[in-house]
Amino acid sequence: MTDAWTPLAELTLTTSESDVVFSSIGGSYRDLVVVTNIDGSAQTELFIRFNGDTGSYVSLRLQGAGGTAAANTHSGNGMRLVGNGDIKTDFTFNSVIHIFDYASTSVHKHVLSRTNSSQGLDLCTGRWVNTSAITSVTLYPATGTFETGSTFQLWGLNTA
Amino acid sequence: MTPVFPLSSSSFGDYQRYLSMLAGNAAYAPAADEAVIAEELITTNTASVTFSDLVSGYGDIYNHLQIRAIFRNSTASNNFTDCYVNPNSYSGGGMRSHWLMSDGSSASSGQNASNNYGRLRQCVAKGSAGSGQFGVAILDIVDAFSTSKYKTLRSMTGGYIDGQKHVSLNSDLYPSTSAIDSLELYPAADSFVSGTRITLIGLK
Repeated sequence: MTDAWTPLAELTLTTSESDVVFSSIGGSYRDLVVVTNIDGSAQTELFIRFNGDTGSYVSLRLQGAGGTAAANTHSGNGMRLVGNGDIKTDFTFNSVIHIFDYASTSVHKHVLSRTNSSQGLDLCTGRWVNTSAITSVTLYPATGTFETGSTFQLWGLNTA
Repeated sequence: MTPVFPLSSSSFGDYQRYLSMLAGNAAYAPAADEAVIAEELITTNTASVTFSDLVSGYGDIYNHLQIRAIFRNSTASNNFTDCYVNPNSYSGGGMRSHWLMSDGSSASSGQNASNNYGRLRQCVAKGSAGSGQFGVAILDIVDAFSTSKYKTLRSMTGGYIDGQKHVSLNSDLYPSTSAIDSLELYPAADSFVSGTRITLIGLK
Protein backbone atom coordinates (compact mmCIF):
# COMPACT_ATOMS: atom_id res chain seq x y z
CA MET A 1 0.00 0.00 0.00
CA THR A 2 1.14 3.48 -0.78
CA ASP A 3 1.48 6.33 1.62
CA ALA A 4 -1.71 8.01 2.67
CA TRP A 5 -0.12 11.43 2.50
CA THR A 6 1.95 13.25 -0.07
CA PRO A 7 3.87 16.36 0.96
CA LEU A 8 3.01 18.98 -1.65
CA ALA A 9 4.78 22.08 -0.39
CA GLU A 10 6.69 23.42 2.56
CA LEU A 11 7.59 27.01 3.23
CA THR A 12 9.57 28.80 5.94
CA LEU A 13 9.31 32.55 5.72
CA THR A 14 12.55 34.49 5.41
CA THR A 15 10.76 37.84 5.36
CA SER A 16 7.50 39.14 6.73
CA GLU A 17 4.54 38.40 4.48
CA SER A 18 0.98 39.64 4.43
CA ASP A 19 -0.20 36.29 3.11
CA VAL A 20 0.97 32.85 1.99
CA VAL A 21 -0.41 31.24 -1.17
CA PHE A 22 -0.19 27.62 -2.27
CA SER A 23 -0.98 27.72 -5.95
CA SER A 24 -1.28 25.36 -8.93
CA ILE A 25 -2.60 22.57 -6.71
CA GLY A 26 -3.37 19.52 -8.82
CA GLY A 27 -6.60 17.62 -8.44
CA SER A 28 -5.29 14.13 -7.91
CA TYR A 29 -5.79 13.93 -4.14
CA ARG A 30 -8.87 13.43 -2.00
CA ASP A 31 -8.28 15.95 0.80
CA LEU A 32 -5.79 18.66 1.60
CA VAL A 33 -4.27 19.42 4.98
CA VAL A 34 -2.46 22.62 5.87
CA VAL A 35 -0.17 22.62 8.91
CA THR A 36 1.25 25.86 10.26
CA ASN A 37 3.37 27.30 13.02
CA ILE A 38 3.02 31.06 12.91
CA ASP A 39 4.55 34.10 14.50
CA GLY A 40 2.52 37.24 13.86
CA SER A 41 3.38 40.91 13.94
CA ALA A 42 0.32 41.40 16.12
CA GLN A 43 -2.28 39.35 17.97
CA THR A 44 -4.87 38.56 15.35
CA GLU A 45 -7.06 35.94 13.68
CA LEU A 46 -6.16 33.52 10.89
CA PHE A 47 -8.22 33.46 7.71
CA ILE A 48 -8.22 31.14 4.73
CA ARG A 49 -9.41 31.74 1.19
CA PHE A 50 -9.63 29.45 -1.85
CA ASN A 51 -8.79 30.25 -5.47
CA GLY A 52 -8.43 33.88 -4.43
CA ASP A 53 -12.20 34.06 -4.22
CA THR A 54 -13.70 36.84 -2.14
CA GLY A 55 -17.20 35.41 -2.35
CA SER A 56 -19.00 33.73 0.52
CA TYR A 57 -17.47 31.81 3.42
CA VAL A 58 -19.13 30.74 6.69
CA SER A 59 -17.55 29.29 9.80
CA LEU A 60 -18.32 28.26 13.36
CA ARG A 61 -15.81 27.97 16.15
CA LEU A 62 -15.85 26.23 19.50
CA GLN A 63 -13.28 28.10 21.47
CA GLY A 64 -11.68 28.16 24.83
CA ALA A 65 -9.49 30.60 26.71
CA GLY A 66 -8.94 31.47 30.32
CA GLY A 67 -11.30 28.83 31.67
CA THR A 68 -14.22 29.84 29.49
CA ALA A 69 -15.71 27.93 26.56
CA ALA A 70 -17.74 29.80 23.98
CA ALA A 71 -18.97 29.75 20.40
CA ASN A 72 -18.47 32.21 17.61
CA THR A 73 -19.65 32.39 14.02
CA HIS A 74 -18.44 34.38 11.06
CA SER A 75 -19.45 34.97 7.48
CA GLY A 76 -17.58 37.07 4.99
CA ASN A 77 -15.18 37.12 2.09
CA GLY A 78 -12.72 34.81 3.83
CA MET A 79 -13.08 31.93 6.26
CA ARG A 80 -12.20 32.85 9.81
CA LEU A 81 -10.61 29.89 11.58
CA VAL A 82 -9.86 31.42 14.95
CA GLY A 83 -11.97 32.72 17.79
CA ASN A 84 -9.88 32.75 20.95
CA GLY A 85 -6.66 30.98 20.01
CA ASP A 86 -5.34 33.94 18.12
CA ILE A 87 -2.08 34.22 16.27
CA LYS A 88 0.38 35.66 18.74
CA THR A 89 3.78 37.26 18.54
CA ASP A 90 5.48 34.37 20.28
CA PHE A 91 5.47 31.50 17.72
CA THR A 92 2.93 29.57 19.78
CA PHE A 93 0.22 29.54 17.12
CA ASN A 94 -0.25 26.12 15.52
CA SER A 95 -2.97 24.96 13.19
CA VAL A 96 -4.03 21.81 11.35
CA ILE A 97 -6.58 22.64 8.67
CA HIS A 98 -8.42 19.81 6.93
CA ILE A 99 -10.02 20.60 3.57
CA PHE A 100 -12.41 17.88 2.37
CA ASP A 101 -12.97 16.81 -1.25
CA TYR A 102 -11.13 19.89 -2.45
CA ALA A 103 -11.06 18.74 -6.09
CA SER A 104 -14.78 18.00 -6.34
CA THR A 105 -16.83 20.19 -8.63
CA SER A 106 -20.15 19.18 -7.10
CA VAL A 107 -19.79 19.87 -3.39
CA HIS A 108 -19.06 23.01 -1.46
CA LYS A 109 -15.67 22.93 0.23
CA HIS A 110 -15.82 22.00 3.89
CA VAL A 111 -13.13 22.62 6.47
CA LEU A 112 -12.37 21.24 9.92
CA SER A 113 -9.50 22.84 11.78
CA ARG A 114 -7.98 22.92 15.19
CA THR A 115 -5.76 25.74 16.29
CA ASN A 116 -4.03 26.73 19.46
CA SER A 117 -1.69 29.35 20.82
CA SER A 118 -0.69 30.85 24.14
CA GLN A 119 -3.97 32.78 23.84
CA GLY A 120 -6.33 29.79 23.69
CA LEU A 121 -7.64 27.13 21.35
CA ASP A 122 -10.32 26.63 18.72
CA LEU A 123 -12.13 23.84 16.91
CA CYS A 124 -13.60 25.23 13.72
CA THR A 125 -15.84 24.07 10.91
CA GLY A 126 -16.39 26.14 7.81
CA ARG A 127 -17.71 26.08 4.29
CA TRP A 128 -16.71 27.86 1.13
CA VAL A 129 -20.00 28.41 -0.65
CA ASN A 130 -18.63 27.30 -3.97
CA THR A 131 -18.37 24.04 -5.91
CA SER A 132 -15.21 24.93 -7.82
CA ALA A 133 -12.22 22.67 -7.42
CA ILE A 134 -9.62 24.28 -5.20
CA THR A 135 -6.43 25.10 -7.06
CA SER A 136 -4.98 27.60 -4.62
CA VAL A 137 -5.09 28.16 -0.88
CA THR A 138 -4.36 31.55 0.68
CA LEU A 139 -3.68 32.04 4.37
CA TYR A 140 -3.66 35.54 5.80
CA PRO A 141 -3.83 37.29 9.16
CA ALA A 142 -6.68 39.70 9.85
CA THR A 143 -4.14 42.37 10.59
CA GLY A 144 -0.38 42.67 10.28
CA THR A 145 1.90 40.06 8.79
CA PHE A 146 3.27 36.56 9.21
CA GLU A 147 6.78 36.95 10.57
CA THR A 148 10.12 35.44 9.59
CA GLY A 149 10.45 31.82 10.65
CA SER A 150 6.76 30.99 10.33
CA THR A 151 6.28 27.61 8.67
CA PHE A 152 3.55 26.35 6.35
CA GLN A 153 3.08 22.86 4.96
CA LEU A 154 0.57 21.51 2.46
CA TRP A 155 -0.25 17.80 2.28
CA GLY A 156 -2.45 15.79 -0.05
CA LEU A 157 -4.42 12.71 1.02
CA ASN A 158 -4.06 10.07 -1.65
CA THR A 159 -7.05 8.23 -3.01
CA ALA A 160 -7.44 4.49 -2.48
CA MET B 1 9.72 -18.03 -11.67
CA THR B 2 12.96 -19.48 -12.95
CA PRO B 3 14.91 -21.07 -10.08
CA VAL B 4 18.17 -19.45 -9.29
CA PHE B 5 19.93 -22.73 -8.45
CA PRO B 6 17.87 -25.62 -9.80
CA LEU B 7 18.19 -28.64 -7.55
CA SER B 8 18.07 -30.74 -10.68
CA SER B 9 21.03 -29.02 -12.21
CA SER B 10 23.76 -31.29 -13.45
CA SER B 11 26.02 -28.75 -14.94
CA PHE B 12 27.21 -25.30 -14.20
CA GLY B 13 25.40 -24.13 -17.28
CA ASP B 14 22.01 -24.67 -15.63
CA TYR B 15 22.49 -21.77 -13.29
CA GLN B 16 20.49 -18.65 -14.04
CA ARG B 17 22.53 -15.50 -14.03
CA TYR B 18 20.92 -12.49 -12.40
CA LEU B 19 22.31 -8.99 -12.46
CA SER B 20 19.94 -7.94 -9.70
CA MET B 21 20.30 -9.06 -6.10
CA LEU B 22 16.53 -9.57 -6.15
CA ALA B 23 17.19 -12.70 -8.22
CA GLY B 24 13.83 -12.69 -9.88
CA ASN B 25 11.89 -11.83 -6.75
CA ALA B 26 9.71 -8.80 -6.41
CA ALA B 27 11.31 -6.01 -4.46
CA TYR B 28 10.25 -5.88 -0.82
CA ALA B 29 8.13 -2.81 -0.26
CA PRO B 30 7.54 -2.05 3.41
CA ALA B 31 4.05 -0.89 4.25
CA ALA B 32 3.67 2.85 4.42
CA ASP B 33 3.53 4.41 7.85
CA GLU B 34 0.07 5.69 6.99
CA ALA B 35 -1.93 4.18 4.15
CA VAL B 36 -5.40 4.45 2.71
CA ILE B 37 -6.92 1.04 3.42
CA ALA B 38 -10.29 1.60 1.78
CA GLU B 39 -12.51 4.28 0.41
CA GLU B 40 -16.27 4.26 -0.09
CA LEU B 41 -17.72 6.72 -2.57
CA ILE B 42 -21.50 6.63 -2.25
CA THR B 43 -23.38 7.01 -5.53
CA THR B 44 -26.82 5.65 -4.57
CA ASN B 45 -28.73 5.67 -1.30
CA THR B 46 -26.88 3.37 1.09
CA ALA B 47 -28.07 2.40 4.55
CA SER B 48 -24.62 1.64 5.97
CA VAL B 49 -20.97 1.15 5.12
CA THR B 50 -18.95 -1.64 6.70
CA PHE B 51 -15.21 -2.15 6.66
CA SER B 52 -14.51 -5.78 7.54
CA ASP B 53 -11.68 -8.31 7.97
CA LEU B 54 -9.49 -5.58 9.39
CA VAL B 55 -7.53 -7.85 11.74
CA SER B 56 -6.46 -10.35 9.13
CA GLY B 57 -5.77 -7.64 6.59
CA TYR B 58 -4.10 -4.98 8.66
CA GLY B 59 -3.73 -6.06 12.28
CA ASP B 60 -0.09 -6.98 11.88
CA ILE B 61 0.74 -3.81 9.98
CA TYR B 62 -1.02 -0.94 11.69
CA ASN B 63 -1.77 0.10 15.24
CA HIS B 64 -4.34 2.81 14.75
CA LEU B 65 -7.24 3.56 12.42
CA GLN B 66 -8.60 6.82 11.12
CA ILE B 67 -11.84 7.64 9.32
CA ARG B 68 -12.14 10.81 7.25
CA ALA B 69 -15.55 11.47 5.77
CA ILE B 70 -18.11 13.85 4.37
CA PHE B 71 -21.74 12.92 5.00
CA ARG B 72 -25.20 13.64 3.74
CA ASN B 73 -28.36 11.57 4.17
CA SER B 74 -31.77 11.27 2.65
CA THR B 75 -33.73 12.78 5.52
CA ALA B 76 -35.63 16.00 5.03
CA SER B 77 -36.34 16.85 8.64
CA ASN B 78 -33.42 17.31 11.03
CA ASN B 79 -30.69 19.63 9.84
CA PHE B 80 -28.02 17.26 11.10
CA THR B 81 -28.11 13.71 12.36
CA ASP B 82 -25.42 11.62 14.00
CA CYS B 83 -23.36 9.06 12.17
CA TYR B 84 -23.22 5.94 14.31
CA VAL B 85 -20.10 3.80 14.46
CA ASN B 86 -20.55 0.17 15.43
CA PRO B 87 -17.36 -1.87 15.98
CA ASN B 88 -17.43 -5.65 15.64
CA SER B 89 -21.25 -5.69 15.39
CA TYR B 90 -21.29 -4.85 19.09
CA SER B 91 -24.63 -5.33 20.81
CA GLY B 92 -23.66 -5.27 24.47
CA GLY B 93 -25.23 -1.89 25.18
CA GLY B 94 -22.19 -0.56 26.99
CA MET B 95 -20.77 2.09 24.74
CA ARG B 96 -20.52 5.50 26.36
CA SER B 97 -20.22 8.88 24.67
CA HIS B 98 -18.99 12.30 25.80
CA TRP B 99 -18.91 15.46 23.76
CA LEU B 100 -18.05 19.15 23.77
CA MET B 101 -20.04 21.02 21.16
CA SER B 102 -21.48 24.21 19.83
CA ASP B 103 -24.42 25.08 17.64
CA GLY B 104 -23.22 28.63 17.25
CA SER B 105 -24.97 30.20 20.20
CA SER B 106 -23.00 28.70 23.07
CA ALA B 107 -20.65 25.92 24.08
CA SER B 108 -22.00 22.89 25.87
CA SER B 109 -21.08 19.36 26.83
CA GLY B 110 -22.95 16.13 27.38
CA GLN B 111 -22.81 12.40 27.64
CA ASN B 112 -24.89 9.31 27.21
CA ALA B 113 -24.42 5.62 27.77
CA SER B 114 -25.89 2.22 27.10
CA ASN B 115 -25.45 2.41 23.36
CA ASN B 116 -24.38 -0.15 20.82
CA TYR B 117 -22.51 2.47 18.85
CA GLY B 118 -20.21 5.43 19.05
CA ARG B 119 -21.53 8.77 17.85
CA LEU B 120 -20.04 11.08 15.30
CA ARG B 121 -22.29 13.84 16.45
CA GLN B 122 -24.41 15.91 14.10
CA CYS B 123 -22.20 15.54 11.06
CA VAL B 124 -24.67 14.08 8.55
CA ALA B 125 -26.28 16.91 6.63
CA LYS B 126 -29.93 16.57 5.68
CA GLY B 127 -30.76 15.66 2.13
CA SER B 128 -33.00 18.67 1.75
CA ALA B 129 -30.14 21.07 2.43
CA GLY B 130 -28.93 23.22 -0.40
CA SER B 131 -26.92 21.51 -3.09
CA GLY B 132 -23.32 20.76 -2.29
CA GLN B 133 -23.64 21.02 1.49
CA PHE B 134 -22.33 18.22 3.69
CA GLY B 135 -21.16 17.49 7.19
CA VAL B 136 -17.62 16.34 7.88
CA ALA B 137 -15.84 14.16 10.43
CA ILE B 138 -12.44 12.81 11.39
CA LEU B 139 -12.38 9.79 13.70
CA ASP B 140 -9.30 8.27 15.32
CA ILE B 141 -9.23 4.87 16.99
CA VAL B 142 -6.03 4.45 18.97
CA ASP B 143 -4.61 0.94 19.38
CA ALA B 144 -7.51 -0.45 17.38
CA PHE B 145 -6.01 -3.92 17.19
CA SER B 146 -5.00 -4.27 20.83
CA THR B 147 -6.38 -7.34 22.59
CA SER B 148 -5.68 -6.02 26.08
CA LYS B 149 -7.28 -2.57 26.07
CA TYR B 150 -10.75 -1.11 25.81
CA LYS B 151 -10.96 1.11 22.72
CA THR B 152 -11.53 4.84 22.64
CA LEU B 153 -12.98 6.54 19.60
CA ARG B 154 -11.99 10.21 19.32
CA SER B 155 -13.59 12.39 16.71
CA MET B 156 -14.17 15.93 15.62
CA THR B 157 -17.20 16.72 13.53
CA GLY B 158 -18.73 19.76 11.93
CA GLY B 159 -21.17 21.17 9.46
CA TYR B 160 -22.65 24.49 8.40
CA ILE B 161 -25.73 24.12 6.20
CA ASP B 162 -28.41 26.63 5.32
CA GLY B 163 -27.53 28.73 8.35
CA GLN B 164 -27.64 25.73 10.71
CA LYS B 165 -24.32 24.76 12.24
CA HIS B 166 -22.62 22.34 14.54
CA VAL B 167 -19.08 21.57 15.63
CA SER B 168 -18.04 19.07 18.27
CA LEU B 169 -15.23 17.12 19.85
CA ASN B 170 -16.36 13.62 20.80
CA SER B 171 -15.11 10.62 22.73
CA ASP B 172 -16.68 7.17 22.77
CA LEU B 173 -15.76 4.12 24.80
CA TYR B 174 -16.00 0.68 23.24
CA PRO B 175 -15.78 -1.53 26.34
CA SER B 176 -14.07 -4.50 24.75
CA THR B 177 -10.55 -5.82 24.55
CA SER B 178 -11.29 -7.45 21.21
CA ALA B 179 -9.32 -6.18 18.28
CA ILE B 180 -11.49 -4.17 15.94
CA ASP B 181 -12.20 -6.44 13.01
CA SER B 182 -15.08 -4.51 11.51
CA LEU B 183 -16.48 -1.01 11.57
CA GLU B 184 -19.99 -0.20 10.45
CA LEU B 185 -21.01 3.40 9.88
CA TYR B 186 -24.62 4.43 9.36
CA PRO B 187 -26.70 7.56 9.74
CA ALA B 188 -29.05 7.80 12.70
CA ALA B 189 -31.86 8.29 10.20
CA ASP B 190 -32.45 7.13 6.67
CA SER B 191 -29.55 6.48 4.27
CA PHE B 192 -26.34 8.02 3.05
CA VAL B 193 -26.82 9.71 -0.31
CA SER B 194 -24.64 10.39 -3.30
CA GLY B 195 -21.58 12.46 -2.55
CA THR B 196 -20.98 10.86 0.84
CA ARG B 197 -17.40 9.66 1.05
CA ILE B 198 -15.74 7.59 3.77
CA THR B 199 -12.01 6.91 3.80
CA LEU B 200 -10.33 4.41 6.13
CA ILE B 201 -6.65 4.96 6.92
CA GLY B 202 -4.24 2.70 8.80
CA LEU B 203 -1.48 4.24 10.91
CA LYS B 204 1.57 2.57 12.39
